[in-house]
Amino acid sequence: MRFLLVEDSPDIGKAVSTRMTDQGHAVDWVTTLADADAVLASSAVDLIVLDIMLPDGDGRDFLARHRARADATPVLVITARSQVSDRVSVLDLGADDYLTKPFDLDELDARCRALIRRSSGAPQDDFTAKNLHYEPQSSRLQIAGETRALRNRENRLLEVFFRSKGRVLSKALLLDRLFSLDADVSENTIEVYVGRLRQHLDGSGVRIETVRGAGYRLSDH
Amino acid sequence: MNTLAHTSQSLRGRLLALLGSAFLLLALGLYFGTRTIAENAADLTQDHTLAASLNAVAEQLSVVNGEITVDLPYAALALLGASGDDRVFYRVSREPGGELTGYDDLPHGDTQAPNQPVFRTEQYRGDAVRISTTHRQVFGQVGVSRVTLSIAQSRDSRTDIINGVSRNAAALGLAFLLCAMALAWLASGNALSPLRKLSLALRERQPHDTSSLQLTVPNDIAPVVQALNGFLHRLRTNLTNTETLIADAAHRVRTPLTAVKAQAQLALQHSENNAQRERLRDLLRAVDQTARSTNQILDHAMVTFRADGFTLGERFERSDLCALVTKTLNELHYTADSRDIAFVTALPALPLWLHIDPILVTEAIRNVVDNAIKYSAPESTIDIELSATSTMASLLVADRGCGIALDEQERVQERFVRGSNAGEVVGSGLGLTIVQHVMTTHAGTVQFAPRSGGGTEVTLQFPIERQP
Repeated sequence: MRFLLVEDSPDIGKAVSTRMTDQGHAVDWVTTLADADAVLASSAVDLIVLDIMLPDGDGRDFLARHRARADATPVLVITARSQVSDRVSVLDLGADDYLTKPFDLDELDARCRALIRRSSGAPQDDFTAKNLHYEPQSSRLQIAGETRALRNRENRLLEVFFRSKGRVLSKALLLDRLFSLDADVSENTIEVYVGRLRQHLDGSGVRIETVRGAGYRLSDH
Repeated sequence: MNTLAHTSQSLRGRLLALLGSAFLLLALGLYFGTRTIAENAADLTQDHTLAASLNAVAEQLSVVNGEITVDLPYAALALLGASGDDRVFYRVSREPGGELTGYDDLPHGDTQAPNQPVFRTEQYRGDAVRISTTHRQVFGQVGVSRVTLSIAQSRDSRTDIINGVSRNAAALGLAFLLCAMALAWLASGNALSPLRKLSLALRERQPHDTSSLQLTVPNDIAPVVQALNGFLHRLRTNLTNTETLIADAAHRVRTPLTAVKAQAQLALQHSENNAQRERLRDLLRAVDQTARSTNQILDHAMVTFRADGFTLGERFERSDLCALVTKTLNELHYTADSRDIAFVTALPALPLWLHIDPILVTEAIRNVVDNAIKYSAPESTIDIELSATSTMASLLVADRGCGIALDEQERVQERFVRGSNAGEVVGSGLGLTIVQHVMTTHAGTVQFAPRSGGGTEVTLQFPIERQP
């Protein structure tokens, strides 16, 4: 997927674009509306992530122009939500979704995925191994044609395993990936979720191995 | 805040009282003046008539055979008796020689010179009478005699005349008073109309209207209008400045917080060093706590600003509570989902229209649901029910969280106060304060109840105003 990120704060821009690159997307990061227009004029993107306050104008104007062009590319707006006065809602202006600062990178991921799923309709990023088919974006796990429902946390954990297939992942690392902000989660919680995933993966030929003293590893051997 | 002004008697009342007293004095003066003039005129008329009659009688004095005789001219006396029921008395006496004719007990006046009648008023035979007296020198048998003549007339008709004139004068005075008061009423009304226009214009303004008064007023009260407009201008500038300040603060604070949070999250994921990750995790939690508190403080500032009396009215609009709930749940969906918490909703199929400030109410709902998510165990459910009677709309949010102790249900609504069992859950202690503030602004209530089986039930109730 190719993303256009319009964000003038260098720290946010760097963090978000790194995160998107980590997720396997190509990112065009620009800091002005003029540059954003230039990118859109030369190439097509799959998703636009747009900050509202930019040095050369208001992101809402860009949004209005974008919609006037009848461009269907989904737009996720980042706002500082300060609705002291009644401003026109960004959703009314044609944003597909919006995120309020300060946001979680995980939430940004989740919302971007939802928008892409909605706009393209097709699974973008799926894994197949043995008789298993897994679409993390729609939380769908199919084993031998049978669909198994995954909870959100189970899905996120399984996706981490698939993206690092064959690598040993420590409990601490998994904890940070999934629950970095939840105070009530301990390494025992990881054991509980790994246990559930093993049940879901039962009969697929793919399994989560325990590496004594180091952590877990996804394997399809 | 007491907005009632201390009032004293109205300007018009003051004017009317002042003018009324002056007019009453004038009317009384008119009455007594006219009465005095009438009395003088009546006295003068009576005296003239009496003098003429006296003269006519004196003309009839003659000496026959050396004897002084008087031949009373009845025409002259009839003239006196002609006016009404007045009675006439007369007396003619000589010196020396005694009485000639008439009532010998009618007292004579003291005359100085002949042909100069004197007048006085006396009580005679039970009546007030006007007595005129003159004397003549007559040459008779015994030489010069002094003949003194008096004619008296009762004062009934004079009194009648004076009373008649007085009545007319009183009627005139009363008529004058009434006309003058009516004119004063009209004139004061007209003169004070610019003030009335001003107070009417002020009364009809919406409470949030801070635009200048556009009124043409006489230059006497122009300073008042100028002072008001100056005040309104300062108020408007203040409100705008506050609004800009809150919006700017939100942007300037939230953007760097976002950067710190994102960088810390990224660093945590890219770090392979366990000790470093431990520190980063602590850092990230601290940042998250700061971010949430800052958010709540900014939201609280926004809610306080919007709920303030000056800006409140204009934000109220007809809004669908059902749509607000749905929108808020959508917004919080990811937060709930990240903990595998499911919303179980029971919303009415039809829109539920209320006259509310949609942004404030969204803020209240968001805080209640956000609390429910924060304090719920992972993989639990939160029940959200919206229902309405003809007078009340109720939003129930029931979680399976740690609950709020009974004796803390009031206290947790205070600023920066959190439940004693909040533990390590991040929070600022402002969420329920915001909810409480919003509900008070909408004449609604927020109630907490323990949920059977564990957890908390929060109920927001909004009164539904009857449409006139």
